[in-house]
Amino acid sequence: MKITSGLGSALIAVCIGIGISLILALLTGASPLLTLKALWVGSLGTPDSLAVTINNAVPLILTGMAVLVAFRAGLFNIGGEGQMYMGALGAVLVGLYVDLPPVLEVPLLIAGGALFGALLAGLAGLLRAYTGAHEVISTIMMNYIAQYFVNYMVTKGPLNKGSYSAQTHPINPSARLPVLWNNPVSPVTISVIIALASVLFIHWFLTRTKQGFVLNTVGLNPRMATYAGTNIKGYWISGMMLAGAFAGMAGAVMVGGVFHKLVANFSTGAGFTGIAVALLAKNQPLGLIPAALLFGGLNSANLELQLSAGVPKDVVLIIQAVVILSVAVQAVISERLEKREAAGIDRVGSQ
Amino acid sequence: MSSKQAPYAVEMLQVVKRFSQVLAVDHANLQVKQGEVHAVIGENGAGKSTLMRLLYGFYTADSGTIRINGQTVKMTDPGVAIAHGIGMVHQEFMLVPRLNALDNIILGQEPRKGLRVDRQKAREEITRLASELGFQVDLHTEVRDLPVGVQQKVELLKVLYRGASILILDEPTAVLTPQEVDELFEMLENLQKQGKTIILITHKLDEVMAIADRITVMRRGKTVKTVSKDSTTSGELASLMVGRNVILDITPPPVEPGEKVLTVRNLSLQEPGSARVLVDRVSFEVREGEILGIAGVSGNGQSELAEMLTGLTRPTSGEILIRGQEVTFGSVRRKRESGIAHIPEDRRNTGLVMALSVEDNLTIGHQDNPELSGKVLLKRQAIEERSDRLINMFDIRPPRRDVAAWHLSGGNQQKVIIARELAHDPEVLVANQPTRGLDVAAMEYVYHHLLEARSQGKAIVLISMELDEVLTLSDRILVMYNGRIVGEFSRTNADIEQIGLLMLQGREAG
Repeated sequence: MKITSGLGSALIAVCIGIGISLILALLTGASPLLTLKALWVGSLGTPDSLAVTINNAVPLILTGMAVLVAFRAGLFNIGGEGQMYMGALGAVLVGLYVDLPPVLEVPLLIAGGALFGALLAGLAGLLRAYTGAHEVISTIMMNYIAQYFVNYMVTKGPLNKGSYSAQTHPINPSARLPVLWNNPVSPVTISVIIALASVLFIHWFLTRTKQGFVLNTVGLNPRMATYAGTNIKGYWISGMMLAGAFAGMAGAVMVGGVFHKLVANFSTGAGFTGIAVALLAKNQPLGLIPAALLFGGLNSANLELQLSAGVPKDVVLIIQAVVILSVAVQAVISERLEKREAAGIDRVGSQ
Repeated sequence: MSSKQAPYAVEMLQVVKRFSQVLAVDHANLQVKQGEVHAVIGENGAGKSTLMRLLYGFYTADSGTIRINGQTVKMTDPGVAIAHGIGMVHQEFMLVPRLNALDNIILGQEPRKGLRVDRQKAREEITRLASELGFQVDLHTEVRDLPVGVQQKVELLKVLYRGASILILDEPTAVLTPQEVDELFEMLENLQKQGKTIILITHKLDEVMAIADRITVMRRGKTVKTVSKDSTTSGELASLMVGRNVILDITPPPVEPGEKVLTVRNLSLQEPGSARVLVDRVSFEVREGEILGIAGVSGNGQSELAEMLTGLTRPTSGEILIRGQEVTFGSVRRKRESGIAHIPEDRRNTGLVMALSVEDNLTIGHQDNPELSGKVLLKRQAIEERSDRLINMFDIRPPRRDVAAWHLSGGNQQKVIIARELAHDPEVLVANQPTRGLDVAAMEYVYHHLLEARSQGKAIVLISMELDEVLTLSDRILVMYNGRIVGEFSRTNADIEQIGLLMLQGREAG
């Protein structure tokens, strides 16, 4: 019930976003019709663009999950970017130094990424629980630490492959993620399955398990959770670790599925876009899939918009921004409506 | 009659103010003579502050008349009150911490010289006002660096600077040291000599007897009586303040108390980082089938006591035993496992997760029960059946497990909490303000369940600001004042005047 209404309002937000963008396109002199067509062709309309969209969406699902899970524990994880960098580092260490058959090595690579992401995020949870340091501040700062630490490791540090390029040696072939659809522009690997499985896992975790139930309580009302006998600090720390694990996996699939090595500054900001994806998904795990596809598709359509419709590339950013704003405005409006409704019921309610 | 005399400085007639479900001020009458110190007394929540905020224009009355110096005034906002010479010193000071005392006082009323603020003129004026009252204030110190007592003087000067002739002081001594209280009273006497009218809100009888000329007692939003100090005693005031309003005629069935369940010995709590003792060597025992009532004005350590009993706050020293087993420093979980259940005072923020369903709210805290979950998975069906059973047993309305808690009325929210807390057969029930904000029907319902739990042999600690409630339900009554137990009564020898005096001044003699 809640998910469908969430989906409905998210769709409205998307339509508003695209509508405003078409007006903008018109103002910049482009044809709205061509713009729409370019949006379609560039995101889903051809096999190549579809593959790019999917590969854009996969890390966004995972970094969106990193925001969603922390949010369910009542914490704002702004550190997805840093956790993704650490995850890439963990994955590349496995890919470089472990040599096992793919059936073992690939899961190990993903696990290495998850572990490193979890440790970095867990540190923020630990600081929040025991020193009160706000996780927003600490995760933002850790983004820089993680990114520059990883950059150092692959440029001047021990993982540099020895030439002047800022990257590691390629990982073992057995560590590469198996390809499902060998699209020539952008091969689609089992990272898709990893992302979808993560979504289903968290959906199940939050609705079916005891620990997920408690995590939800902690996030919605830590005071009540404490009163009911929950160790909320433990849930903050483990909630952050679980969240960080997903961002770490995003880094791992980039290493194992896209680059097959670790490159300095490899991210295009998926860690941050994940925040918007989780927002658009209204923090419902299943909502992450369409939300990530939307953002992935818009990015994928970017080039097509410029080439065939003559829309400046900034318009894509504007579409994204307008969509996010529409969602945020809707959240405020529906919250007020609910409150008014609740107040009304209070007044007529009787024993 | 009144036409021959000087008119009253303040006259409030049949004033009513309602906040959604609560009648905060109920046809109240207040008549304050010019030049007198008039105390408005009553327990917490009796409506004193609301009545004063109506006078100050902070709230607008739903009905009734307000006259200032004989003239009917529509108090729509504080500006109107100020224009009629009314000034209010709030319990929480309305000062800008980073501005100095002078700027705080003149803020909004700056004397001007051309475009500039004429601070010189302001300083002379304020210094004159202060010296008339017999004190000095360093006007150049930032307010945040001033002691609380001096901040209060700044606040008072602010009011006088605006030309107030009728001063309202809301619990002015709550934040002061005894020495500062003496200074304040001296100041008030000086103000009275200058012909100012002073309205003092308080619940401390000592202060009333020390300084007031006349006293109006409020209870449950009503003005019960106005008396002059010379014709009353603190005993009479105490019983007027806490006096009985029997709403529900309930006689608990006789229950023979069984074995000792809860033992508390010398339990103390010191405020972290200060020397203030919030709970001071409290000792008591509760037996099976017994309700121990704890009476007191709010803020005398009862909430802290409840939090220590239930594990939310760690005691500084002392002992808590359940059937002889020590649980003093145990966590909430440990205390719950040893059989303590808790109806918290803050229903909305502590007792429930408002956004979650009734079912979830009934389950929280019991999710580890092997009937309701395995190691990882929740047993959804068992949870649903249990929720339906509890909804039925405790008559929660609407009888649906999937509605969010905030859709329920206050009474039904409380039923959810009671159902959850009693569901697993606790040994001890700590009920803190279990009927706060509930209507009579819901109140009766809560009483019924507390008495039923008593019949089932549970040991119950009932903490309530409502003396009626304590007197109606309790087998024994303890009175808490300043963190200490200052009196113990049994149901049969409970004397309302004695209890009232103990609640209000910590000792029996006036």
